Amino acid sequence: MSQLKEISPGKKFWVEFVKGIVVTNPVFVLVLGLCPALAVTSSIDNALGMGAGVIFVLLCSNIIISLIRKITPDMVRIPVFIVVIATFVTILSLVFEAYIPPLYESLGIYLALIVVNCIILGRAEAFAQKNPVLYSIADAFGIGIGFTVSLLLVSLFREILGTGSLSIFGFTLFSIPVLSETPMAFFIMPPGAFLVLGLLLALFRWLGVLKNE
Amino acid sequence: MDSKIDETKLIDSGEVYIAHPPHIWGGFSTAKVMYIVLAALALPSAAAVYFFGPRALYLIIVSMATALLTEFAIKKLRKKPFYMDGSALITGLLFALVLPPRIPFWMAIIGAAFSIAIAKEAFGGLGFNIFNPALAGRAFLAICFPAAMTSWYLPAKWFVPGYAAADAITSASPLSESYIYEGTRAALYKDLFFGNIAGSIGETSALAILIGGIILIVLRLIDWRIPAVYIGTVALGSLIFGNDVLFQVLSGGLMIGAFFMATDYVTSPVTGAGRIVFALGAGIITLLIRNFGSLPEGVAFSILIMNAFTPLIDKYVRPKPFGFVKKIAKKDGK
Amino acid sequence: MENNKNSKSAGRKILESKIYPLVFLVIIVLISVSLIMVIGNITQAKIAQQRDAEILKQLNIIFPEMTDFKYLDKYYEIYAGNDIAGFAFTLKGKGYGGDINMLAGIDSNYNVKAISILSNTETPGLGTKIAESSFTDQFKGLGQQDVGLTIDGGKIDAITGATISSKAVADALRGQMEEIIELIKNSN
Repeated sequence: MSQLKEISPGKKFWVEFVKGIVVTNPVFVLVLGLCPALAVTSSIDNALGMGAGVIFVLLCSNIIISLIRKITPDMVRIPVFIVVIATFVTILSLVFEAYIPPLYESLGIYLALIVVNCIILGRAEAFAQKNPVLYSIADAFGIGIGFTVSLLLVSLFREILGTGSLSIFGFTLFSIPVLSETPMAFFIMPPGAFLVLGLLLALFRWLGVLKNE
Repeated sequence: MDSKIDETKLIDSGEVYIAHPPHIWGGFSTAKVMYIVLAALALPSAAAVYFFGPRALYLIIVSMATALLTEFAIKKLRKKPFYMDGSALITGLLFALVLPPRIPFWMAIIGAAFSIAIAKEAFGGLGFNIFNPALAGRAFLAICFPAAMTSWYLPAKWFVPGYAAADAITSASPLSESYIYEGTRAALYKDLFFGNIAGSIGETSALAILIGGIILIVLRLIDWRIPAVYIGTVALGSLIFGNDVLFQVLSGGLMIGAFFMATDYVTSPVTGAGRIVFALGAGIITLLIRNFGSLPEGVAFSILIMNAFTPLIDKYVRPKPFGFVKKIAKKDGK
Repeated sequence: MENNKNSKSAGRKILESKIYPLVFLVIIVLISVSLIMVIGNITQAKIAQQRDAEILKQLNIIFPEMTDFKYLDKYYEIYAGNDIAGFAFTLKGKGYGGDINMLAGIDSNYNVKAISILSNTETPGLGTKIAESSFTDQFKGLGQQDVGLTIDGGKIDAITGATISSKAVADALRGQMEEIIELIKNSN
């Protein structure tokens, strides 16, 4: 990451941003954060809510950790990261409970589990504690959006196959005639998440989109 | 898999080829064995068509065609050679035989495609699959479409006068609590034995399955220990639980499961002792599901669960090599 | 961390002192706790308000004539004008896939007014049908003794293929109704 020092800050910002979405996509390339990727992808709404939550926490924690990186003692850095992340997750869950109760209900325990989402701690350890604030913001957005896009992709298949229709925030986009009457409930249930995620990983490998390991 | 043409092809292509299970005793090639099994399944299939009419025949054709096409497509996709070894046809046929008679065709197509594409090919193809593909397909459908997979109908015989006029009469599965049989106990046993009863199209006729199974046992293509121990365990357990033993043995998918599913070479243990452990486990799980589970029938899930244990059984239940002496424990106190 | 090499001031001495990591961690935790307390205070009222609104919405569905309600420890007393229109209570059933949360309303004669399934984790397509009106409407007007599946001597038909879920709802309601009716009678 530090080989790019010659490039102008603006360009590097862009590089760090794009990197997170494709080249180091957290779910499909780094294969991190699978717990939420499997658990909350039963509908597009949940995927969007979880994605927004992770982007918020990741952004805040990356900024704070990058700001205090020079005064953070190496010895206690992991506890410090966890405290910072846990603070933002608690704030997020309070805000969700107060202002978007339906989303709070459907995300359930997985909202609190953002604390132990390895993507966020991983970015703090691997990026934010070594890089200036501006790049850490770019990294947070890139990885966060990459994560959200992955969740959306998994939930798209699960919702269409598992319910026979697709709806966003209560607004039905379309519904498939026969399938919506007898949907393939398997895909809404946990094993369906494993199957869809596995097949998507296989598809991307096969297409050669994700070459770097 | 081990026919001459294939070998030369593989040698020419420079691939090192190590055969995986199924390893079959000399004389029969995999393809030949598969076709003999198919022939043995002809009788249960015929019974299915006799009892459930042309729809059963269409279901069998649709499932087998889907299985074959999926196998072909996946092999092409993976750039692997496609062999017409009959294994896909067996999976398709076995899958069709454990379907309820009036399931929509598109569901059967999805299930058959799942059997081949996910349960078999995604694990590496014939010889590598952990779970019996036909049963995995059935379990997938049972979870996807629980309502369609549990609507049973009384047999509507094709050749019996008045078939065309007869509408489908729904019936509970004989194993469910709400099943009521109008007639004597002896008549019930007779219907269960010959197959004139509600159920999956190929599982109702115990007679047809028995004949097919015995042919395979006589040809030594399947191990008699698995069906014997499996059915024996269920019979003994039913006796202990105080159930009607004959009824428990003849009803549901036990017969077809014990003879044709649990004996699958790839997904059952290789040693005789291992197979006994496997069949015993499947029998106990079947009993537990039937007596305490929320589902009326547990044959499919019991075999799938024991499939998962097969590698473990193969690891721990091993024949002792000739001349093998037990190691003296803790020689130098390490 | 490489950047620290450039500074040689007193600041560096602090950074290298042995108790500094401890002090730093304590400060971070203190900041975190105070921040959460502030946000918690701001959102607390709103969260309580949201919960009330949700219950009010559900109560209104069961008792359309409701003008006011009062929470009495374990149940709600529902008023239509000055009269008591009935009572409502929340309850939990042990379903096939987990807890089934319900809200039930009974009229002043202790017959079921209506029930509504607030949340469940039953098998989609089978057990989830307990939340549909074709199932819940069966409960309307039943006395406590009649709440139960037909196979158990009650008047509720189980959903085909979802006997456990249906039984969970009926049994939980019968049990809870008995308890609540007892409570109401004792309080009068």
